[in-house]
Parts: sequence; structure tokens; C-alpha cells
Amino acid sequence: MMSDKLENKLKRYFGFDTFNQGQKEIIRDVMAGEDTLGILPTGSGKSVCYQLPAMITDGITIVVSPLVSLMIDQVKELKANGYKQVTAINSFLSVSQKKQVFDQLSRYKLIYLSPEMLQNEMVIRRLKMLKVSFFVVDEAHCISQWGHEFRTDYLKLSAVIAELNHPTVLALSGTATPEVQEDIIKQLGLKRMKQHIYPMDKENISFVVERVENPDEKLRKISKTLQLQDAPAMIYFSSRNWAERASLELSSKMPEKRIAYYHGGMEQSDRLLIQQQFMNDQLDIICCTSAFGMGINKKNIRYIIHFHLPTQTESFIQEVGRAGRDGNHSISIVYYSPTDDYLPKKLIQSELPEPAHLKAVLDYLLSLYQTNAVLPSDEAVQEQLELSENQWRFFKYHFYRKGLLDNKKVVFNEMKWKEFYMLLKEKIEHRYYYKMARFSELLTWVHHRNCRREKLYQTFQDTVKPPVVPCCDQCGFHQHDFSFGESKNNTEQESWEERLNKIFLAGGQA
Amino acid sequence: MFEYIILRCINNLKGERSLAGIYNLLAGKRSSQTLQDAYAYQLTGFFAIYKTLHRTELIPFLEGMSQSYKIKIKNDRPEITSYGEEELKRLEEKWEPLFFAGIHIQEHISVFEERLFLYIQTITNVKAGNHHFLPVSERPDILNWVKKTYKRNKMNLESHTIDMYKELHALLKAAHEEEADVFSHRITGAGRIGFSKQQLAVQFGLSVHDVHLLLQHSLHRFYQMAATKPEQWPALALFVKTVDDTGGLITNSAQKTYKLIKQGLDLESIVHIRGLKMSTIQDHVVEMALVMPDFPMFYFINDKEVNEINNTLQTLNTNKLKEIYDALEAKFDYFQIRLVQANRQHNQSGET
Ligand SMILES: Nc1ncnc2c1ncn2[C@@H]1O[C@H](COP(=O)(O)OP(=O)(O)OP(=O)(O)O)[C@@H](O)[C@H]1O
Ligand SMILES: [Mg+2]
Ligand SMILES: [Zn+2]
Repeated sequence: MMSDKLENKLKRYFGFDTFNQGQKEIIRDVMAGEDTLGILPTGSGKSVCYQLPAMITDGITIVVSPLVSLMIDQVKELKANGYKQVTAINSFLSVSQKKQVFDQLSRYKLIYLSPEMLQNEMVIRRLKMLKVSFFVVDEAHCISQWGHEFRTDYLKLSAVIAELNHPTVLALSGTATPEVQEDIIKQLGLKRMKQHIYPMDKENISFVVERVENPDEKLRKISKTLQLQDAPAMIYFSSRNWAERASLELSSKMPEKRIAYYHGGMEQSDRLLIQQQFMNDQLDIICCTSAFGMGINKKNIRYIIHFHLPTQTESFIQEVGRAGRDGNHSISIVYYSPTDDYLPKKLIQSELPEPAHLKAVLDYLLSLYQTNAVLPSDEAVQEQLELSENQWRFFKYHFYRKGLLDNKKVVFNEMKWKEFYMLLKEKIEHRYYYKMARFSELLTWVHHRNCRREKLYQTFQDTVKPPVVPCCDQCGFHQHDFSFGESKNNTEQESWEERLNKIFLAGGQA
Repeated sequence: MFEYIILRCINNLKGERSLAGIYNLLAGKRSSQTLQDAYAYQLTGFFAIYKTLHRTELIPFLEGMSQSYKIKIKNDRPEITSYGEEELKRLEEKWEPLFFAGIHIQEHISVFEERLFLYIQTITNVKAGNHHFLPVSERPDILNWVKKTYKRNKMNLESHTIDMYKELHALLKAAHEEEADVFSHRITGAGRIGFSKQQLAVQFGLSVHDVHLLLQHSLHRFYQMAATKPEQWPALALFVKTVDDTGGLITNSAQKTYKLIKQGLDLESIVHIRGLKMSTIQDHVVEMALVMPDFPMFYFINDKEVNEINNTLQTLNTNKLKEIYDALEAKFDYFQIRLVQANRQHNQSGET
């Protein structure tokens, strides 16, 4: 009876007829007040697991989500579907916008928060005045330093949960090894969590790895594969430069295809336009960095191509998970050349601070201390010290934890600082070796001689489902003999007057 | 267009400013030095018309111009050559009159732009029966404004849309063909998502710089039309932001400093309270002197001193601080000189 009702609600609020695997089980436990850990593959509909309970329960639901763009996308999507009692609070809001949201906080049922907002006392105080029913931790692997996107802000979650008088907690992730799952439960400070762990293998994706000599050969092979097909594709690169360059070269190799690039260095307006063109089938191929993808919910992506590998298996699985959300056949291709090993190493280095940074940062703190100045804004510090956002976040977290900083003031004690220096240096080295080990794990997969599907998911689960499409190159799939069907030429041009006419006067004809 | 603007800057700056000076002007780096330069060298129109420009893009561009003999670069300071002057004339013929009014309207342009594009996306989608679409702007204030404005106009959506079309059509018809191409393809409407700048560049065989500036130029022109003759351009006048008084000051940070000055604090205390460098606080003060009516100069320097510096400024007729400083025999510091200079420029520009 109860489950029957849930299905009706699903239909009413989302328009879906049935639950996807795992959704109902998780929703039931959450609604029964059980702290729950849900591991469901990417694109399987984790959002519904908290959105539905939020909509049909008294009190509010707080969702902590690490990526501001992702958060904004979800709010937009909900609003576009007519659900208005939702909002997002993040550092992009201006002071007056924040005030506006806070003044009307009780109007909302679903509130997305970026983790750094949880450091803000005012935010916590406001939230404490509300009745919080559910506390959701999305992308929960970020809480574990063994996960692929460790976020120090996430470590404060357990304290916040306690302060809010322990609402029912739901932690969700698409990619978490058993090691990380255990860590999530531990770090959230929860003794008992109901666990719903589902296998993450995708039955509708074929896997291919092709070894090539150099980048040019990759480009040639990509255009040979995509040229004659009607198949939306994403191509992943490890750098902005490469994404741009490849987009240009592929455009000249395939003039009949609509190709664009996307990366974090673009102007916001251009980023939005490119993303919408892709969603709107106005683009065939997108050359992107990992900045694209999270939050991209296009159903008919047929190819995920890795021009460069990411730094670890979890990221790879997550990126591949963008393909075939309509359940139809899709293909993952990795082009690998021997010199590629060096790129992720550079990426790993850029994510982690170096010992030299450590010295510079400590010197900087000392100078603040000596002039009796307070710590400036994050952006200012990052610029001054030439640190990436991740790097500075890492330092700041440890400074506060070890008492070198207190409420934006530097606390100096020579002995303590020396100790701290040694400790952090070791920590950094440790993380570097750990990350390199994770990368070589992915390389092992690239060089694997047996079924790729089995090997890829091996650290996450014991078995894989038999695929409903050709399995992988090792199991006899030849992508060169395969096509999703003839492509059509979509590149027509309009004069400015034609375009203006069509947009304003066509009376609805797209 | 980019080349024209760069050449125009170099020409006006007479070899007295470095590449950084040009960069700061176009990118709208809001330092008092940049503002002063804009007035002193008649480049106020170009202030902040290219906020997303990277310094690293400007360097090779200038080098290219130097290799084609249009400019010479001496000690990092570009100067126009006689060949460059001819080129400048040719480009002037092609592009002028231009309607950039950076220093006066730049802070309104991005709001104008985002409102305009989101509003067009909204009304054309609704008209096509499509109520669910992902907006091309994410700023909550813009989204709210568009929602409200749409509600006010939805009763006569059909004629409203046609009015908008007519105004844009008339304005684009009067523009360069390139400008009309670029602007019309930037628009997002029902079933058509606008092009990115990079895509516009490829489509129309332009550089990304030119695309950016052509778009900015349309926006500057439309904005001024709508702001000065709202009765003639009622549809576009919708997007002009009604005044919210920021006291005419350009940076937020300078406003905070101003508040503290009004409370009677001296600069040292402000340095402490705000945790900023003295030079930054002084920049704020110069910025105020440049844009504020009734700036209380006497807080910082007495009338006699002002006169003395003023006289020297007049006789030397240069904007090189070092020369002025030397001529005054180091009696005043650079801050005081810049302050007086700014005050003078403010009075000359006749702004309120
Ligand atoms: N029961 C359902 N039936 C059909 N479609 C569904 C169902 N539940 C969710 N979806 C759709 O599946 C898509 C993916 O959902 P969602 O973004 O929540 O996935 P996710 O698991 O959070 O993925 P990610 O790991 O990328 O965050 C959405 O388009 C959503 O509307
Ligand atoms: Mg999700
Ligand atoms: Zn296989």
C-alpha cells in the first residue's frame, strides 16, 4: 500500500511511471528515519532519492553538494519543471541576494548548500531555527581523503549534523570503493547506517582502448570514427589548451560536423551557450575538460572518448557514465599513447600543494602576524601566493585545525610552527604517492589483456551483469565495423535578417 | 575593430604609457591611475570595454603590429609610426563613428546585456508555447527582474515582441553588416541557442577580439539610445537600469574607504581597519577625487598646496608623475600630486 502510494507520488512530481533500481528502497528507509548510505551508478537517479522525500514530508531538506554549477543546474531543472520551493545558497550570491534568501528561508522545502557555507555561523544559526527533516550529503565520497575529490569542507559535516540535532542523514555517491564507503560512515560520525550498495556497471556501454603513436593519430582516428555517423559525442582532454586545439583541428577535418569546446576558463555566458547547444542537439561533438560533465544530463550521448585519461578509475567511471542515459547502446573509447603517462602526473601535481608552497604560505602568515593584519579573502590569498583553489583550501583547513589560524588571526608559536611544517610536508608527500598509485591502477586497466568490463569494476564489486550490447574490444567488439547510422549535414547559414525574423516572428517554428 | 582601438590608444598615449596602461584601460582595471589616464588622453570611451582580455593576449598582438611597422616599442612603451598613422586613418574611416562610452556606462552594460538576452529568450520561447527552458543567465537578480518584467508585459506579448523586433532591426540595419551578423547570432530564441564568441569568430571569419568588441559596441550603442531617448526606443528602454545611487564611485572597495573617511578616520587607521595596503587606500582617495562632486580635498591637502601643484601641472602640461615630482623638487609626495591632478581632471571633464 505504502509503496503503491510512493509510485503515485513519483508520477505526480516527476512524471515517471516506475522507480529505477534502488530508488524505492532508499526512499523507504529515509522516510522511516534511518540514516542511509546509497551507492548508485552515475545517472541512475540519485537526486530523486532525496527530492521526493523532501516534497512529501514536513520540514525542510538540506542538500550539501560540492559543485556550485551542479547545484544551480538542479535548482534550475526543478524550477523549470514547476517546483518552486527550492533554492541554492553558495558563495556566488551577493550579500543582498543572500539576505533575500535568508529572509524567506521558511518558504523553501529543499535547500542546496555548498559546503563552505557550512562554515558560516550565521547560516548554521538560521538553519537551526527551521525544522530540518533530512540532511543529504551528495557526492559523499568527497568526505573521504581516499575518494577522488577530497574536500576538506566536507569534514565539518558531522559537527553540523550534530548541531542541527541530528536530522535523518542520507549520503549518496556514484563512485565509492568499499574502502571509501567505510570512511564515509566513519567521517559522518554515524554509528549505524542502512546501506544500499548497487553495482555500478552499465550494461549498455561497450568499452574500447586503442593504442596509438601520437596525438595526431588520435585526431585522425576520432574523425574517422565520428565522421560518417549520427552520434553525439563528448571528448575528454586533460587541458584547456588541448580541448581548444582539438576542437579546431577536428572542425577542419569534419567541416560538416558542429564541434565546440568547453572548459573552465571560458566566460560564463559562453559556457552556458555551449552547454545548451549541446543539450539542444545543436552541437554534434564537444571537446571538453572535466569541468564539463558533472550535471550534464543529456540522454543521447553515444560516444565518450578519452583523448587523455583522468587521474583515476573513479573519475573515468563517472565520465563514462555520461553516455547512454536513455539506456541505448553507447561506446567508451580510450586513445592511449605511451607519452600520455606524463599528463596526469602533471595534473596530480597541480592539485596538490608542493613543499615549496608550504614555505611560502608560512612566510606569508608570519608577515600577516608581524603587521597584525587579518587574513584577506580566499581569492586575494590565492592570487598573492599563486595557489589553485584546491591548494589553498588544503592549507587553510590544516591551519585552522592545528590552531595556526583562529578567526582570521594568525597565532604564532615557533615550536608549534616547526612541528606543523614537518607534519604537513609528510602529508603532502603521502598524498602524492597515494594519487600516483591510483593513476597506475587505471593504467593497469588500459594494458589489461582480458575483459575490460570485469577489470574496470573489480575494485567496486565482485561480479558484473552480462552486458546487453557488445562487451569490449577484448571480448571481440570491433568499433571500426560499427556505426550508429548515417550522419546528416546540419550546418546551414542564415543572414542576420533571416535569423532575427525566425527568432521573433516565426510564430513558434523552431 | 580591435586593431583600430589599439592603434587609437597608442596614438593618444603618445608613448607616455606602457602596454600595461593600455591593458588596464581596456580591461577596466579600476585604479585611479587608469581612470586619470583615460581622461588625460581622451580615451574615456574605451574604458572597460574588454574586461575579459588577458594581458598575455595583448603582448603578441602588439608584437605583431610592431613587426608590420605600425608601431615601435621603446622601453616597453608603444609609439605609433607614420605608417601606423596612415593605417589609423584608414581604420578610422572604416569604423568611425563609434559609440563607446565606457567610463560613463560600463557598470550598466553587463546588466543591460544579461537582461536583454534573457528577456528575448523568455518572450520568444513563451510565444512559441515553450514554458520550460534553461535560462542563458544565472544571476538571481537578472532572473528576478526578467520574471517581473515579463509578467508586466505578457498581456500584449505579441505586439511587445514585434516592437522589440522592430527596434533591434532598425538599429542593426544602421550598423556595420559584421556587427549585425554577430549580434543577431548571439541572441538565443525559441529553438535557437546563441553562438559563443569563438563560434561567431569562426562563422564570420573574424577574430574573437573583434567579435567581443562588435558585441560590446552594439550594447553601448543600444544602451545610450535607450537611455537618452526612451520615448523613441521604448522596448529597449525596458532594460536600462534605473539609478541606484552608488555615489558615482566606481569600486565597492573605494566606497567602503569613503565611509570610513566620512567618519573622520585618518588614512593610517583605515589601513588598519581594512587590512589593506596604504597605496590601495590612497588609490581609493584619488578615485574619489576623480569622480565625486564636492570631494573634500582639504582633508588631505590645503589650498595653498593645491595651487602650487596646479600651477606646475599647468606649466609642464604632462601626465608623467616623475617629471612633475621633480619639478616640484620633491616637496610633495606622489599621492598629493595625483590627488590634485585628479581633482583638476574632474573639474575639467565637467561631470557632476
Ligand atoms: N524513476 C525514474 N525513471 C526515469 N527516469 C528517471 C528516474 N529517476 C531519475 N530519472 C532521470 O535520470 C536522470 C539522472 O538523474 P540524476 O541526475 O538524479 O542521476 P545521478 O544518479 O544523481 O547522477 P550523477 O552521478 O551524475 O550525479 C535524470 O534525467 C532523471 O530525471
Ligand atoms: Mg547526482
Ligand atoms: Zn568484455
